[in-house]
Amino acid sequence: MIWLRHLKKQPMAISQSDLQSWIGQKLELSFDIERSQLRRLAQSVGDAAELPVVFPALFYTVHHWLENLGLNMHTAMHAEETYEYFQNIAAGDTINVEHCIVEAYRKEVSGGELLFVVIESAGFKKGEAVFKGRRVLVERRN
Amino acid sequence: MNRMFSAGTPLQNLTTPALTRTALARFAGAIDDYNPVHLDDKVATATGKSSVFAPATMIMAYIGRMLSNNLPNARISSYQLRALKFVWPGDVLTCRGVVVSRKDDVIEIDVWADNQRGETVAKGQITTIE
Repeated sequence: MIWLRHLKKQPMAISQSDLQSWIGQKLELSFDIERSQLRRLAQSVGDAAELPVVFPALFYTVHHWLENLGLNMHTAMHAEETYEYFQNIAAGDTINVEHCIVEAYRKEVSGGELLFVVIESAGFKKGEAVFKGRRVLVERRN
Repeated sequence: MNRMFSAGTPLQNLTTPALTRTALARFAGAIDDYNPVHLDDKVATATGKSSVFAPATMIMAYIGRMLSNNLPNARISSYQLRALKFVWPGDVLTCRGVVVSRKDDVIEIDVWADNQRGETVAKGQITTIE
């Protein structure tokens, strides 16, 4: 029930200067790609085989990072995801991933406001780019 | 190969089974991302949703699977997807695609997923290189 306790807290108020301070924040992670992990991912959407493209969702365990900044990940939605792939990723690869917040802004809507956070990510294998991605998260605040 | 994938060619659909809470949990485990709004009804309803719902990345994975069923040897060079509607447990998704352009080995495909009520839950575009 730890999550319920968390929910009872008032959502952290986020000021314009907080939003400004988020821009440029980075998270760097490293992943060892394992065959069993690829198989588990493929099977979770009904594939017997491995996915031919390693899905960058594997590298997106960012919700604790964003929660610590003050975004409410229980109400934030992934509005849009865009990826470009430059080379294949296979089991045995080590992928270094950099996430960076490139935009953070609010928009007034009727009955509240929307908070937009745009994260750009890049994956590298031995220093060479393997993918880059951009995701837009939207949180509604009343 | 696959010379038939010219502009206007529809891809073969992929229809998911009705998505269960177990399927959502399994996907969360596979991508190692345990946001409880996809797993715990109490958390999801506390945010005003009627229940847990599928992560957008899961729809992305199903559409990716539809694409690789159609073009098993193609390499995806870009993939963009916009989430339009929530996907709830019990929903059945049909993933669809149609080729919008082809230039040499580069194929641009519009992709989307509809639920059993005929609503489009996500749409976007994939570029592949054969």
